[in-house]
Amino acid sequence: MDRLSELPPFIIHQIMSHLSAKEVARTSILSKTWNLLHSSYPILDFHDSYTYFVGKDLATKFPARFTLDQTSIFPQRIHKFIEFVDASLVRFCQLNIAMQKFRLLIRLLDVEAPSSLLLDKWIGLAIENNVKELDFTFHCRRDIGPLLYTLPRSTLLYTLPRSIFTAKSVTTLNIFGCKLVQLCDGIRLHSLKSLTLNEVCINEECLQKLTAQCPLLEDLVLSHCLGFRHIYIFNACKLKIINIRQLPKDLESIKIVVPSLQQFILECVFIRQVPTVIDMVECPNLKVLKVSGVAFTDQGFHRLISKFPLLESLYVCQCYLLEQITISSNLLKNLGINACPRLENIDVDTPNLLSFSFYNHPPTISSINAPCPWKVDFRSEVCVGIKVDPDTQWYLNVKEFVGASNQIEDLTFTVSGNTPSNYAAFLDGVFGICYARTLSARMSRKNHFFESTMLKHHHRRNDGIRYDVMLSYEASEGVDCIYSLGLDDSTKLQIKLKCTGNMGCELDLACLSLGNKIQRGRHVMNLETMCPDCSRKGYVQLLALTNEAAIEQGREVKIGTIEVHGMEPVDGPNNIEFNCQFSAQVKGQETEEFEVQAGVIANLHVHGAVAGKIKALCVEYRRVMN
Amino acid sequence: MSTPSSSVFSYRVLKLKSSDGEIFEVKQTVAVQSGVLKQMMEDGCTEGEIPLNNVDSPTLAKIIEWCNKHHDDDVEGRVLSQEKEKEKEKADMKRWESEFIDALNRDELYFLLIGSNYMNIKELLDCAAQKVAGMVKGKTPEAIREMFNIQSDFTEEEEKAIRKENQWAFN
Repeated sequence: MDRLSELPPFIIHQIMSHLSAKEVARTSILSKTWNLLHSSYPILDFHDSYTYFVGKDLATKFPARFTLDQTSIFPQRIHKFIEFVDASLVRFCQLNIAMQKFRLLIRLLDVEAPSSLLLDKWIGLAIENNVKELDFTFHCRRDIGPLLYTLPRSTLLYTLPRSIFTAKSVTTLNIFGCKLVQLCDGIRLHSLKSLTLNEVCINEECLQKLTAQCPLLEDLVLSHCLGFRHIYIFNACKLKIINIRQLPKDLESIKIVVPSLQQFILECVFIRQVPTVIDMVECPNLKVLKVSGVAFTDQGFHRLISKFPLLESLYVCQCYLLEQITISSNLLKNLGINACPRLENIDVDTPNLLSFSFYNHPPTISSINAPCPWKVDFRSEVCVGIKVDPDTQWYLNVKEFVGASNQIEDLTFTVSGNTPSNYAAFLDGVFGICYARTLSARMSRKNHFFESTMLKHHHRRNDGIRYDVMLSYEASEGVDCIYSLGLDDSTKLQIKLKCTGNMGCELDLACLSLGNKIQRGRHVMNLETMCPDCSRKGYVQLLALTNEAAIEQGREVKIGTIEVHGMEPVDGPNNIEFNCQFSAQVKGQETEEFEVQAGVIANLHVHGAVAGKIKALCVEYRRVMN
Repeated sequence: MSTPSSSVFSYRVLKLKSSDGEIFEVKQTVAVQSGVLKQMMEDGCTEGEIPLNNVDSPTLAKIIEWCNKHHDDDVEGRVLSQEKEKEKEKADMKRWESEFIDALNRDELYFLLIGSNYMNIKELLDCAAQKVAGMVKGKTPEAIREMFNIQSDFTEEEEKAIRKENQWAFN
């Protein structure tokens, strides 16, 4: 019996909403019932990237990247798409059903009539049919990349019709890449709850009106918008979330008077050089504040946060002028301090904190009261280009920092440059007092002392709690690093060795993953010279490090999972065949061997195959040419 | 999730009567997940047995199982201190949901769609709809017809015409 077709249309449409537009369209030939179900489907979703309309060569290319030939052929091809959208919309609107959603993604070579007239017509049709969600993305001819900030863009953008401001039924409005111009009469977006403007050109007055005259507005996102120097948001009595991403270059001030505001996020992708005046005096209910890439002075920052007595979450990222952070709050639950390169000192008193993350170079501490699990990543390079060489003071600060908590959950070192082994003593001291559950080191160079110290200290712990040790290497510089792993640096292989250990007994999981791709040929070729002690060509002992550590400690290693990822060569998986062999040396000199052969080892999991007590494990693979 | 308005009645139970006459007792705090029952509670007409004529007892049992799982008993008293824990709970819930849905046969799934729609339980309806969508995904129209036993009532010409009209989707 055909039960599915008997379901009420609402349920069928609910099912369709989990399918792509293409798949939905394909259901129309199932039967007459389904054809009707398709034509009454209230989500109208159009993308001009379907190859049927624009051809494979133009399917995903931005107009700004078109060649001359493509520019001349595009209008002809897009015409097919435009006809299709037009016919579909008109047909749906004849049914007189409320439209749930109208989504349109289209590339425009010009923004003048007649194309703009057609767009106006579609938007008008959707609004007449009481559409609830509008989602438009317009990629105009010259609107991508850095050009965005240098060209006078207003002339290159499609201007949305004024009817958009009177769309009473719209609850969600999401627009990308167009222009909104001011209107004389009122805004009647009475149902609007969520407004997202992305790369939209809008002037100050229009922005003000738009936010002040939508009585239900709860959620506002301004991303990469332009056309204004001041942001002034007021009189939005239900507004809860404001998210501003990337400010216009010449923005001077932000003033927000929204007593209902609970969450404010200000993220600048490029670090701003010029301090912006941020006035948020009238937002006493703010609970979440995230500032990123904002040029605060110490004073400006502290003045801002003092305005939010109810703040529960505070995240400060890449505020490059900040030198001192003082936070004192009984309500704060989450605190994150990330990549503030000039930070010298922190003073934190947050007795009720629930999470604390700190990714930075270690500052000095005036006092710190944060009785919760900490996630700490000490970095020698805080932002791109701002580097310190870890010196004695660096290590002393690290020691002081980790000494301030007995709840360090994750501890990571991201260290570049030289870390002479005589600092091992400091680290010994650090690990003597710090019990991180996850301990990681990300290094651009192989660093024996780091890993041996870390592993040593982790092995010493014997309290039955599960600890993770993670060592990751980026094989971009230095022969050292590569040598001991038996891999060549020119392959740019990212190697991450992760041993998850249950330190009470033995390491129960060794996981190895090879990120990225191995360049054909080079890999094995270079290994010959890199590993003179390898008896066979192309022999790679990938788990050498794990073994060393395990053997050094005299511990038994039980292998649960081995994962090998992404071993296909760059130029197609079919040219090279990998032969993968796992051999395990089991305690008591017995050797268990098993072989896994795969045309390409792209994703190989061996689960529990060598469970038992294994003392050493090596993974080798050889290249076999067809 | 319990809402402030319902927490007053948290100890009270509703008696739900399935189409085949079986009575199920459900805590009010659990029942609020159903838009229909929530509305009835707000209107104060939940005395006695509430007949659910569109839902048979096996389906109702399934629906209640879902609601019980998604009901957070002690949402106020428990503080999830860590993002990680929240994520883990979310992941656990997702796993439970997919196991719950995957265990259903075609008929059960059908009645669950009907029932959750009738009782207006959005999350459950969405989850079940997603499951059906997953079954449809990536299949040819012929395979979909076969799977759900859908008879094409088009003539050859009609089908050709519709295929042509939607040709973009078949490319």
